[in-house]
Amino acid sequence: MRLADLQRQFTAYVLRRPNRMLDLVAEGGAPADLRLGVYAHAYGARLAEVLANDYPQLRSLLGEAEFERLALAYLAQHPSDCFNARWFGRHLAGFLASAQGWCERPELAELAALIWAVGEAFDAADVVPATPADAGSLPQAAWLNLRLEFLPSLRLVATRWDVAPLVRAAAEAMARPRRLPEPVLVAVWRPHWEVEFRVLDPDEAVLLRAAGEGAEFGDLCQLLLSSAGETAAIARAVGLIRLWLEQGLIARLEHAAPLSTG
Amino acid sequence: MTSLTAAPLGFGLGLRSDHYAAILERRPRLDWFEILSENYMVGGGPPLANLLCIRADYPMVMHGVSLSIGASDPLDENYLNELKKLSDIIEPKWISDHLCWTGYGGVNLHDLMPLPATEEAVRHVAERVRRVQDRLGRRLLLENVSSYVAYAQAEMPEWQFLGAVAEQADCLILLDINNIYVSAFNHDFNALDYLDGVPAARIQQFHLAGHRNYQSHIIDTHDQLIIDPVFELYGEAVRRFGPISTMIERDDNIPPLQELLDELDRVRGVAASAVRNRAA
Repeated sequence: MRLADLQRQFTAYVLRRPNRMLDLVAEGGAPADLRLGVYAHAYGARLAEVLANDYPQLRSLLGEAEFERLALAYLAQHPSDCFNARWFGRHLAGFLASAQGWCERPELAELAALIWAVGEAFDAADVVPATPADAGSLPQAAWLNLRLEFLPSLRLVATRWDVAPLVRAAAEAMARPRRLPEPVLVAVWRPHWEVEFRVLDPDEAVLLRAAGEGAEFGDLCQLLLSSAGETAAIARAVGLIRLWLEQGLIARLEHAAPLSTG
Repeated sequence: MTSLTAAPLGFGLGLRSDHYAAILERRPRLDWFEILSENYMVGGGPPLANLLCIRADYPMVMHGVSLSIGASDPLDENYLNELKKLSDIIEPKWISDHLCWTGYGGVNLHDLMPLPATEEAVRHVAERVRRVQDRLGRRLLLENVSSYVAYAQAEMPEWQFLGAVAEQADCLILLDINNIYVSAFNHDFNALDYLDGVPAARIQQFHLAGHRNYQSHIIDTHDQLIIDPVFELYGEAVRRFGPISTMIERDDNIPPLQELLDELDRVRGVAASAVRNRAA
């Protein structure tokens, strides 16, 4: 049998799909199904453990048996396709949002999405954040075209359920989150070695999303004009940028060189 | 005649995140660390930062589990890029992976699947090793894996298979002493035949680890102390091959660092005794 055929058969065995693997194993020692079973068992157990490590809060919320059922269902739909098991669980939020038996509990998908974002922020590229002093040294003329470059770790997760507190809750304090009166946006980022996250105010969420998409300071102020006067809009936009600088969300302040008046 | 292998590094441990703080605080007396390459194939974050701090004080080697050198799927270019990128940062003394395959048809089994010991597999693996070596600009070390099945189609014993791949690919060998013990039990061969059958000139590193014995078979779990018969086999290996760079792999049920340092002292003692016997 060619190498590729053997590997196809063995993979089918591990994935519990039809195969002829029992005929291909040499006789001797422990029974062939026991020996092959070591690999099939290890595959499921290893990836279930990866999921449990990646989503400990979800495991606490669901309980061990329910989480195991989830891991099996997920594994059946998403056999691992990446060399690094670190990324195996990346589809879990999408699975929970769409799979029958799970999508009826939308808070689970939201919690999974937020946990995954925290994990991604942990591994993201290291960049030293800009500081309020960087904004203080900007020439006045630079503000109008000011753009913000955020940390590579910044993630924005939309939630309709109050899942953010669960990410830091103790296992025994896990309880089904309440539905929020309005959807919110949670910002996740890592300014140094610890991952931070917090729920954004509604206008802050609009501005942060727009700024992340490249809007200039002037555009950000415009976005606030529908609910505030010009002076208040500018003050709020400046205040938010200062807050983001203080909390280490911003990597760099970009602006065009001021025009010469000479 | 120049040696194929690098000068021995002495006695090391696998670097695990549980021990970062203790290592950075105490700078323990050991000669080198082996890192799991895949754990650091990330953009940044605390593990990579800790790794670089520790790297400043200790020689390191990179050990991978995902190269899948024996797969029939194409080599994963993305993986090779990540491996090369990490190697450029870490500047390891050497890079190793396993003589195995880890998936088929795009599915990754995250396990070290045994290869059939056939001429076809020798040619297939050797050709891929040469391509990887060209990419990395250095010789690769291939490790013998623990296995729980043998194939009816095998054409040669495992040690001959390992030796043939190493010779045809012109690569080096990471000999896992515990894996020899485990596979010898599971497949009922004499572990000393294995030691006598591998090409000595290509052995650059030894692995030692613990396992779990289920009576009908042994599983290579890396979650226990090294057992006495594996120490004895290690002594036989040192007597045959000399003071090869040796480290302990511990991947689960990880004890405090000091316990591993104590176990490493025992390794040193066994090696010293074997070297004396070798000289006598």
